[in-house]
Amino acid sequence: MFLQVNDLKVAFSTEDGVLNAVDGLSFSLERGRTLAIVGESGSGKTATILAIMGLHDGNTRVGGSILLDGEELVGASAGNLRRLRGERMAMIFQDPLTAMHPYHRIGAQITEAYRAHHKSGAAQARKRALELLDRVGLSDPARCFESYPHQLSGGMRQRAMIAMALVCSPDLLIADEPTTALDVTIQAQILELLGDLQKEFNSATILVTHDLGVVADLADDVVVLYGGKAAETGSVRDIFYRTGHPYTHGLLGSIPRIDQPRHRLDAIPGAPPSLSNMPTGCRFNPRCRFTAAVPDDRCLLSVPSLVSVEAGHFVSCHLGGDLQAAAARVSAQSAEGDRA
Amino acid sequence: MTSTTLTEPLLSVRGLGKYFGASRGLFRKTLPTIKAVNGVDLDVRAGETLSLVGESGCGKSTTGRLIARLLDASQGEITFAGRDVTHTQGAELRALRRDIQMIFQDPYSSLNPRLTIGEIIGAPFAIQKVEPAGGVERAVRDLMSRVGLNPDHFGRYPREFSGGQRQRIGIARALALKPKLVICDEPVSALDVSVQAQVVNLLMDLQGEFGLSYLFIAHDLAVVKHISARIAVMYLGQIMETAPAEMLYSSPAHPYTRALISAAPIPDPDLARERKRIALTGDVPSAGNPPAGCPFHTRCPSVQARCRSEKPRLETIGQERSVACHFPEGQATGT
Repeated sequence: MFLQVNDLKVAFSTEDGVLNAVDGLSFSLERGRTLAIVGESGSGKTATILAIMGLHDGNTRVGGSILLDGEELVGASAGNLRRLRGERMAMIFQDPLTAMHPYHRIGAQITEAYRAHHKSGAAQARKRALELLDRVGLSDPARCFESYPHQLSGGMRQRAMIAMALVCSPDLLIADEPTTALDVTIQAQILELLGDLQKEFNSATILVTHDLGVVADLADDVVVLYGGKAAETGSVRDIFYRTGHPYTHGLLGSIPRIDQPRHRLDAIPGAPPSLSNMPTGCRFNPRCRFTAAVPDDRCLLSVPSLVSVEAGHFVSCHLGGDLQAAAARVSAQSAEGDRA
Repeated sequence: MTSTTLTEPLLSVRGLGKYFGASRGLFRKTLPTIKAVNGVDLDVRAGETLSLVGESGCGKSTTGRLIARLLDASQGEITFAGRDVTHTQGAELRALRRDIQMIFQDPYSSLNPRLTIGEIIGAPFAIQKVEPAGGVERAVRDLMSRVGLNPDHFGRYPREFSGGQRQRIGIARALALKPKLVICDEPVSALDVSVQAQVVNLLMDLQGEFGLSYLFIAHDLAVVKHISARIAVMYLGQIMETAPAEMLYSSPAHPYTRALISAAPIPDPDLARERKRIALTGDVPSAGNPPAGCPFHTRCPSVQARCRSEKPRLETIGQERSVACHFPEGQATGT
């Protein structure tokens, strides 16, 4: 396995005590595949990828294990992590305007990344940068090389940032909401580019997003995060067509779809939990419509573990993934309640 | 939702324009004028939702602010409830503000952090010197429960609420004076996915309850399809196409509308990977230097010679649709 994350824990020390942003997360990823990490605010998706990149600060404790091609990243030295970042793994940020240095030209920022990892002259680095600017679909690479970030449009900046991430040919590419800040027509272009580059470079990609449309488009495998834990993991078809967790089910029901006629949206009540105030038992229980289908208040009292419901498809829920049976039980109970 | 009994629309906008950066000073250098809004025509009928969609920088928010009279129009006219309100000032403008309210995108920056929720929602009464029946506090508590907030949280501050709840506070404030038209500027795009649906449902419920008309400004085509009776598509400060929602999605006439719809994500892996996208190349041109002829011709997949020189007018096709294109899809070309 190329990337193996086992029982990852990320905890922030704050004035209000220790907050567990990620609490026992495991997943793995092969070369040539795209894993989508889906979650809302406070789900722990950013804390997870910062742990992989080794970018957490001193106030954060990272536990568990992250193996990149057999090399342990948790507790690795700063020098080692610096070598791995860029050379083995790279990141594409949501907002290229804040992720790029405003006072340096695009070309200087890309060649700097290249020369930090290669013994190379300025001319060779420039050649490599121009090659990549061309590859990511910028129509005038030489002009782009000489431009400052603010001189490019949002879509062009995102392409330039992808070129920057790819300059050292990393095997692991982490894209954090790469299209969220972009317009729909530009978003479609960038998604297509990411898909093509993945095939060409055979890299492993982690796509962090809240947008299930982007997941449906690009992902092979999916981890649905809720309150710092995996609610459900599986192939993209498992998640969309054989949904096993009430939260995933609720997310899919709450988004309006352009390909469907109008209907009332099936909203999930409440809001995602905050780190300082996690519910006991299953973290989704205050918003779940199926808790009545589980006997003895187990949703409120015990934390469900992630169990396999079919090959490669795991669900962390006391219902064990069978939402249809649970829905039938809940409606039978409420009918009984009405009679009584 | 569409009311056809009224012959006159509640809001009617003709040739609306907003130009930024034109210098008026004697010694100032002449800067290029940015035509953020450039000749917009639209109507909102009583009780309906008209959505204004487009990409960033197309002028949709500026149009909303012009109609709310937060900005002054450089050109054109705004007629509200039969009166020309384009340049209304003073007491008349204050009266207009009761009827036209706005809900903002960012529920964090649009609420004063030093005021309690009760003060925020009650502010419109104080500003307009309106004494609601039963007193301000009772009216505020009633509004809070109507938008799904606990009225006992009257004395709390915005920081104690989640993003979705803050947006409910903004909605309650907008509804306090029982407006006729509410301009919603990207009201759900800053919210978590699971919370967006709650706010969309709430806005639709309140529309029925209060008989509101909405001008709904958004970039998310799926949300827009869900909430609108009619949709206007904007590009570079101009309306490209206006049509009833179902018609716009089932048979888009403007090439830009077609491209937008084909690029909208579909949360279904098989459908998302099978369907053909109309890939638009390049970026939206700068509003400071718009292309000659049709504003969309630099990116249009079916551009022809005429599009480069002659600007298409927004023409009515059939009963309900208007298109600004020389060669609209599936329509007899009418010039």
